Amino acid sequence: MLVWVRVPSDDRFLSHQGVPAHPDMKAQELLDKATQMWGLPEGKTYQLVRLHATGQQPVHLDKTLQENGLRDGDPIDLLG
Amino acid sequence: MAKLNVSTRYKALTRDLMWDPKDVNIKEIYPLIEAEGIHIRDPKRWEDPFRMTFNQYVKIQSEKEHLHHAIRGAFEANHGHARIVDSRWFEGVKAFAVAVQPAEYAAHRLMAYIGRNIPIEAIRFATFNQAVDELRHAQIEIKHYAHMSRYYDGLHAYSKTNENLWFNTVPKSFFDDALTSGPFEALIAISFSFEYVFTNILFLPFASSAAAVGDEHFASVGKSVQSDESRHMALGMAALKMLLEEDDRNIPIVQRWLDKWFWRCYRVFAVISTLVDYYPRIRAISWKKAFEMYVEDQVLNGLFKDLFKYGIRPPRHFEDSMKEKEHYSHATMRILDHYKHANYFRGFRLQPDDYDWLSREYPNTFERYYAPFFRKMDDHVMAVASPGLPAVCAVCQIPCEYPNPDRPQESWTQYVEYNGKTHMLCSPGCRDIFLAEPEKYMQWWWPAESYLSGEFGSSLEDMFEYFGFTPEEANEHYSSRDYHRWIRYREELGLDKRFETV
Ligand SMILES: [Fe+2]
Ligand SMILES: [Fe+2]
Repeated sequence: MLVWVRVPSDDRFLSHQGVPAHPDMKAQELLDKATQMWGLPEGKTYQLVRLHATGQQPVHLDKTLQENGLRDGDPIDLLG
Repeated sequence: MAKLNVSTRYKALTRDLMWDPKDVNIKEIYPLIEAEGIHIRDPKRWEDPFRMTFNQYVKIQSEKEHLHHAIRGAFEANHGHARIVDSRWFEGVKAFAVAVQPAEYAAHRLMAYIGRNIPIEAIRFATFNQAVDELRHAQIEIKHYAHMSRYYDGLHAYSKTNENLWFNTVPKSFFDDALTSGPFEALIAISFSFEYVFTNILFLPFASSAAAVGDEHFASVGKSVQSDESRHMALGMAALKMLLEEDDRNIPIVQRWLDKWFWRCYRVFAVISTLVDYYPRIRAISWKKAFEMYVEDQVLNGLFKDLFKYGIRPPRHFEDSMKEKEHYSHATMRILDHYKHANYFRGFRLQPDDYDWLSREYPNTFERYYAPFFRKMDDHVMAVASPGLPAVCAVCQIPCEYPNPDRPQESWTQYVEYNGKTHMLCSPGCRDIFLAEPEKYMQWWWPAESYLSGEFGSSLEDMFEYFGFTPEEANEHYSSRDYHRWIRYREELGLDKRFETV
């Protein structure tokens, strides 16, 4: 699966960017993958928020993507 | 026999050429005429406003071609490419090559489709002429690219680039959308919304920018193409009036098409705003002023006032396009700078005179919202490149990163749930187009997903091979080999010398 991650605090990521992912991976793994891959400042706390038609929904980092209800192609904001 | 006057002669050559079929049902020959709910009572009373016969058409077009190719010949013989004020302009010409030339060819097929499916002679003659015009446009543009590719990057394999590069999904999806519409919708989409409302802003500022920077050949391409547009615009107006006057039931259908295609056309012109505001070092006009002149004054405040009597209102979201004029070119240039390492025309580091001009023309927005982004490239030209592949709008296929013009610090991206998926749209305009025909737009294909899954190979080189060019042809202009080549051509010709007069 592919999720689309945006980092509103960084002007390189004003659009959501594709990140290959897996339904069984923990949301924390996805977060680490994106922060490392894109060289976001270390030592900061980040969180993930899923965006959908009717609003936003926090992503629980200790749960898998599937348990968080994330689907292929879902847009996510990485906030920090 | 008495000599026929112009209109009777025109009539004799162009009208009543069709017959009514006796052995088959007319609907079998024209299966799409009723498919869109359009009612036409008396199509014979409609005339092509240009009343052009084929021999006149050939004569006029051949004069245009002779004139254009004379200018082309002089430009090629005298190294016109080395004489322009700044070679970064060619990156804009490359953008035009990928986006506009295949669109010309698609427009040629589209006109043939309309003429085939609408059995009205006036429309047939006009669409036939326009189909040939569009081929001519495609060909004079290709001629230019063929010449330029002897000196500069990016244009050597553009048929492959046209087919495969992510950037070109924008115009391709636009024309595929029109080609899969019914013939009357396609007619309104292209002849009215595209030609009548927008082509002036495409070809006039761009041709003037070409002339301003000294690209005589491209200025001639633009002017020669634009000289056909008055005919295309007249067809658009005639087609619109015909549909509105033939039957009241057509009015809400036409309104729906105007709503959709206004925003569709407006978005497909996004990159044109950068070709007006950014790529030319000497600018002829700003996007904002050109938009006010050609779209706001002439069309939205002018033409649509006249259409009010038919019950037609200005297209949905036209206020959004007016608000966005302060942001459009900057936000679009920012997208191009984000992905310039994977595009076949380059971005460039803004120069002090660029900052001056942009701040002066856009006092409300440029310094405040955009200049800090561009200044990050002062130390390192790739500083603002995005290291990934973006999600694009499910309708216009442009990366979803336009700011909300009412609150520019916020994103304008819209999220829609349909068929078990969250779809992303760049703006309320594209969102409403999606919502009106979700089954159509949910089928869109965006190559980023294929790139990321390794469908075209595992390395970056494989991806460039698929695009039809190499990584050296991408990135930033002033640090590129194209810029250095251009400087050397100028030295060869002695154009770098400054002569003092005492
Ligand atoms: Fe054209
Ligand atoms: Fe869009």
